[in-house]
Amino acid sequence: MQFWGRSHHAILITLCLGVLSLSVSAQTYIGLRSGPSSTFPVVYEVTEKRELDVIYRRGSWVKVTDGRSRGWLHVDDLHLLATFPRDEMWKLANDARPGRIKLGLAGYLEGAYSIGLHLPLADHYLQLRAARGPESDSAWSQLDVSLIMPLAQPTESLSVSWLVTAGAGLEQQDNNRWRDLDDNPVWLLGGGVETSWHAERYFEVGARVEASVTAGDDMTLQPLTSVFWRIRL
Amino acid sequence: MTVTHWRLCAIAGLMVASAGVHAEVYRPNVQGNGLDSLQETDVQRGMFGAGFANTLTTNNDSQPSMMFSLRHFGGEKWYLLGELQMGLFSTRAVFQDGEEVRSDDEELLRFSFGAGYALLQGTASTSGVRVLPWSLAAEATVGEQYSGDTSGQYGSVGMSVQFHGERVWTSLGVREFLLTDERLAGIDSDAGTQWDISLGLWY
Repeated sequence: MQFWGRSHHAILITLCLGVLSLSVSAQTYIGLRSGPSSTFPVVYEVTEKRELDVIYRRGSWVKVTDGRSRGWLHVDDLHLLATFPRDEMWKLANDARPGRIKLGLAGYLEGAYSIGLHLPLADHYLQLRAARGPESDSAWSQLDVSLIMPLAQPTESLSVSWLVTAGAGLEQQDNNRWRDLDDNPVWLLGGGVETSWHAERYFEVGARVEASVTAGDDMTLQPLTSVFWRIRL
Repeated sequence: MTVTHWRLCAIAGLMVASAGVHAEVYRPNVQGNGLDSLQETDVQRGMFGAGFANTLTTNNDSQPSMMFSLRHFGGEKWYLLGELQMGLFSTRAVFQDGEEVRSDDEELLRFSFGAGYALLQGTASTSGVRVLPWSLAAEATVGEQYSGDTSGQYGSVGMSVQFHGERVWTSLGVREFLLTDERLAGIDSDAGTQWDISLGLWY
């Protein structure tokens, strides 16, 4: 009897320890990183029941604190915190979504550069662009509007589009880009194709090949090849 | 009162009651999810700063200048970069065939834009309690440089080490650059190296 009694106690203790270990292993730890990227190391860990306050947001990351220490957490991981208000979580996730308006900068093989604003227009984009090309002691400027339409999307992050452009060009200081004799403004019509790689959530890079002709009798053709950076605002 | 009177009273009562119901005009509203009423979280969109740059153009002395920069985040690693630099370009005159091609008091004005990509990101810590994130980024810019009375296109590639403090950030950068200024190309002074140090705030 004494042997069986001890055996029962041992089984009971083992069972209790098993249940305890199960409850311990169910504890979730959430790592807070030193910076707003998954490449920064985890410097602090909190349990799912820890109450955290958001200090500020950068892109898809929020800097949070529990009053003792602080670190960065991705908005997609906020749901791991059982104590974090769900409405605030959805607002942060919603605010972290990139907008559709884009700001673009481009450098041209011909030595020019440009700045552009991309406004969404249904499935297309309307681009307002100002380009400038210094050439020795003279320069040219071009202001135009382009309608950019999707052509193909080979992969999720790669897209090909075509565009039509209308605008005006201005030669400065006896520049001869479009006309040899005078520096009066010229009307331009053009088109081209571009490919862009969505490198990050808010950022894309790409290349564009386009050509424009002067609307007039002489119809001077000017090709432009550019590399561009665009950021979603 | 006859039955007819009762009926008239009932109809009048119903009309009054129905008029009361119709007085409440149905005005449908789009139901909000309540998220807009929540307090806005402060957002860091980028960082701007000012600093000191030391430029060593070929066939020229090293020259100090002030540099203003803006980095707008495009994601976790990419950012757009804009720079404005003002300072001295030349304090040593250069003559060719008896003609002064570069004077000894030329000033420099440069603006350029480009992009940066954080190649390495890590954490610096001395005590183990406080941590300071850092990143090593590759940066490329294109733009225009006005040197004295002439100008040309500017292109640069370089590296920058940035330390991201709670309220301020600092960066140390080094770059190689090229110019397309014909006057400077004529005296072999159209390329060079630059280092810079900047201090700035988040915006």
